[in-house]
Amino acid sequence: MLFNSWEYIVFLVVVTVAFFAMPMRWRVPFLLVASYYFYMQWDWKFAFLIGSVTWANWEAGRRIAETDRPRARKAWLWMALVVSLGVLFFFKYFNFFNESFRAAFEAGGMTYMVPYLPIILPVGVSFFTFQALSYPIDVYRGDHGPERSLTRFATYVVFFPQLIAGPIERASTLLDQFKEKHRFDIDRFGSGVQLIIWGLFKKVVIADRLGIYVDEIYAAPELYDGSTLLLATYFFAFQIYCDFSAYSDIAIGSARILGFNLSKNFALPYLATSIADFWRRWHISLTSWFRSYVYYPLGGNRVSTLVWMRNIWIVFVVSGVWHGAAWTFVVWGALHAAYYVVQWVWNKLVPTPTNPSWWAVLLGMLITFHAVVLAWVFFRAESIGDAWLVVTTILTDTGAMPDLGPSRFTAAINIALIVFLMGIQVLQSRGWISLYFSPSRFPPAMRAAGAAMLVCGIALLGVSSSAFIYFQF
Amino acid sequence: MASNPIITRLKQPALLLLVAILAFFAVDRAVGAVLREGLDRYFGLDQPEAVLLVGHSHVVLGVDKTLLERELGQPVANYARAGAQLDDRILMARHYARLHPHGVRAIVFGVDNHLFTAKGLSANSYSQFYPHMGDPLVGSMLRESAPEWDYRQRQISHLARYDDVLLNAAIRGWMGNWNNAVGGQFKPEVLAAEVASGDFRRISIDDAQVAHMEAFLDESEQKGWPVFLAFIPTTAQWQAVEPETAAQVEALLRRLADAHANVTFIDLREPWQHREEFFIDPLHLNAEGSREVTADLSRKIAPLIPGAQDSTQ
Repeated sequence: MLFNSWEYIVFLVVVTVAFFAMPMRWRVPFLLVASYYFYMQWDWKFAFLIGSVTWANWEAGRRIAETDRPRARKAWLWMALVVSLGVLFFFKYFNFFNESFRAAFEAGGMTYMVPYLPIILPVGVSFFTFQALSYPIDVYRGDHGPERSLTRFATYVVFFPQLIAGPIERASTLLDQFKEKHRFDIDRFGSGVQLIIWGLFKKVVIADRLGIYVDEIYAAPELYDGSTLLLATYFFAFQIYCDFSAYSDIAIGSARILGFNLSKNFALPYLATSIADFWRRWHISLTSWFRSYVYYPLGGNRVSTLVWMRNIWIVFVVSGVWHGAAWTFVVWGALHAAYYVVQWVWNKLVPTPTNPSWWAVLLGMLITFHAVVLAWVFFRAESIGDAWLVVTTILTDTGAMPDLGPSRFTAAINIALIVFLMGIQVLQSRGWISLYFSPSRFPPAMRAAGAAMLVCGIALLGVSSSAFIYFQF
Repeated sequence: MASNPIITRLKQPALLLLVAILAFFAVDRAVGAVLREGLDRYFGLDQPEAVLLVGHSHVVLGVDKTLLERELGQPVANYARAGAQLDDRILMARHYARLHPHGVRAIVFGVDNHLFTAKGLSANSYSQFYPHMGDPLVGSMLRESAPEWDYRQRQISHLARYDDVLLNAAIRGWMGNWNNAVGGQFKPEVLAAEVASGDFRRISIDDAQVAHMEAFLDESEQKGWPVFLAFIPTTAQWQAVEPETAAQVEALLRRLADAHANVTFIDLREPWQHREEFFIDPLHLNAEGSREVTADLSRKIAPLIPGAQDSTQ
């Protein structure tokens, strides 16, 4: 059941009406059932998997809280880590490592006996395992108390708006909300619906349109010149942003209607003026997860410069691998780590002024954007070889007009939509248009009319629905 | 009397919802009407007493409407849509005739080797007709062809009836732009590779399609519409892919023309099919090619259309 489908809209309406109509004590169990129903629309068998991960983490949290013995606490934490990361490793990375070992063995003239396993990747596995795992870690650290109710904890793990592709929540941000009494609030409903409409617009009008061109070009990059590959890569930068942020927007909007607050996941990332700034704005919930559970335990920045750099590399490479079991994602993460370190060195050499001029800000945005775009090549390409071909062709074979595909009219619409998106984002950054429920300078009637215009845009320019890119992660 | 606090609380959101709904329908209907007018102009559906062109992408790109109007001295309605199959073309002719019951001067019906091949062209060609779903003929076809929910959505929103092709056509209709603006150059080696790999649409002659064509030609004879079965050129290499079945199709087209007094088979393939520089791909003419073919078409049909000027004289 895709967010960009009528089935989801009907599902959300039914769940919302039923949720607020039923007595308080039934609401959390109802959300649990509804969330499992939502998840089982993809593959009912994986409900057992998510159930197992849920139970293991809940049990670990409970046991950790029950005992003062450090060894026992650590043992239960390890159990949660092994179960959660074991599930993630088996379903997502087994074949990647298996085939990498096979290639290495065969290159050395040796026989490799472990067969390829036809494993189906459970949708959202990277998201729900991380969300579940944060709980026993928080209990172990004393950052959160144990949750006595398995029903409540299970609902926290499978809460349908953010189950498949985040935002990745933590016990402190979401679990406790299931203890609160939620009442229907018409203002929250209105703002939630507006965010859902904006998310749908980004998905079916911008991301899916750009995706048609990007898929065509990246399917056979050797057939195209540098300017075409560059255009496809620019388009991909906006495609992936619109696709992923659209999912987050619809998730946050859906949860808001039901009375829940999910974390902000994107904050105008292409207006970032540096790589560090970009990572404060892009996939915020994952960045925050890695900071809390990987970067700080490694020592963060309270270590020597060399160790700090090592920590940065580890976090970014692990973040790359989290996205997918392929060397392209490793390079993507490594590139961002390199950017981060280069930026640190630059800041040491050229201190950033307190009030930079407008052109310095714009230059920072352009450099950051293009660095991010270069990394997206590796994120999107089918292989390292393809990515390298794209990069070298862009750098060496430019000058010709790009191949705009079968319709110049469609290409013109695509470019106009990107300009429209960036225009909206500039207005959001200046506080004219609401960003995640912040105040807007436009009166409510104008905002309502604006939402109606977006629906008109979806009707006129929307293309047939396809799955969200981040579902594969 | 004190007002109910719940009603007071809901008053503003209800008003905002009303504003949003009204804004949506106002824009949807207003922009929808503008687009529909542009589309009618593009297809020439606003044009009575016209020479009607029906066909698919071969006709869209292969016949220069403006030039043909100039050559014939007659208005021309280029009602051709990319992906239109035989039944779609018949529907388009009937649609035009329904709009202008006494205004069909002649019908130039685009034909090709795949005219009677039911499979392989776009499976959802019906979607190109959504903007005209209010027409009884088109509406009943859509009811049969379109999925129920798709049909209902487009009843609610007029803007949802358009895709990029139709939107582009509507804008071009308002701008009076019928130019063939598609770029590209035919690459024989690409076609050769596709043929070698078997990756091409095969010709077949489906009896049901033939029957539909015969019924349409009978109807045209009854109504007194002159019909020209115009074979718009494709490349000679494409014609040579399946020569036997292609010859069968040509024989069938000639037989249909012979069987109906009002029908003429116009073969435009020679000499243009050998001019590779006139094609953007194996099937479609470029702007220069379309001008040459249009002039040729005009020379061949002008003497047969009542009131048309014969540019050859």
